[in-house]
Amino acid sequence: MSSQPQPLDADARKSSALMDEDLMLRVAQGDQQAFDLLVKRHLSRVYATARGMVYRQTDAEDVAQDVFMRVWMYAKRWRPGEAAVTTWLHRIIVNCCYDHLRKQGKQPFSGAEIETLVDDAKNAEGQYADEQKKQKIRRALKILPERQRMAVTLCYLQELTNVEAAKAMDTHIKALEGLLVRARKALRPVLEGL
Amino acid sequence: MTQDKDNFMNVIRTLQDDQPPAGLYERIMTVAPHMPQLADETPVQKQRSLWLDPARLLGDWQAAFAFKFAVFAVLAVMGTVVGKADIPQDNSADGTELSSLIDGKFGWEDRT
Repeated sequence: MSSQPQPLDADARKSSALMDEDLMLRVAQGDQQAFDLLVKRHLSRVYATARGMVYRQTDAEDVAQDVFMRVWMYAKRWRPGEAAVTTWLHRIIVNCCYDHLRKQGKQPFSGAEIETLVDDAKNAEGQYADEQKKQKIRRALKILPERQRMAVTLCYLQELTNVEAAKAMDTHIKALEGLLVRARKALRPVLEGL
Repeated sequence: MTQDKDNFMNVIRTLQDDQPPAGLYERIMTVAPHMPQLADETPVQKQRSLWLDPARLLGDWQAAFAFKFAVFAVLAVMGTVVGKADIPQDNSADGTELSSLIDGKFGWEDRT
């Protein structure tokens, strides 16, 4: 365990075939090259998930940084047989997002804010640019309670299967399906105009 | 329902092309690899940390003791207040006088 990992050669660094599992084992041994590859491979996914959850760009950046710090720090605790790297990574993302929201004391939107969003969405009718549309979707996601938002982010944004998302959220699949149904119901009037 | 779900997913997928801002990768690589890597935790260690960690047990006991003491103090104060409030101020009244008062009549007792 204490032996130093062999450095990754150029081919290996370029190879997408180098499995996440191999990289994680190397990261657990303190291999910064492997960590570098892992970050490059998963940064977009981590950032997009965080952005879906915490709304503001700067907050999403903080969450993404926190996620990879934990990946590095807890790499030795990941075990190949227990969970896929992506599942483990998503679990860290979920925890980091929840921690961040707890620290900030974020609350879902009030009823008045929801009505404003519904009106905005109805008035949109395709005249907003892409970025404004995204902003609208993010604001709509913010209406949802944390767990519903996380379920939507993992299943619809990250396109995880329900089983994977349930594992990442440490919940039962039926509970996850319930969260998704409630989230769709809550978001339907807001996203109707988009 | 499926159509509804598909439309919903399509809207949410709009966010998929959110790219991390420039500089975030460098920021992560500057900070994360300099953090200490925590040692592996075997299941036995995990169990011991759950049940037999003296520091944690002492902390728990202290917290529990403080709570118990606070509850005891509150109950003691309440008991004292309620106990004092229940002492009759005028103990000369007996059952006969009270029933007379209720009936609107006074009962007299010859004490001589």
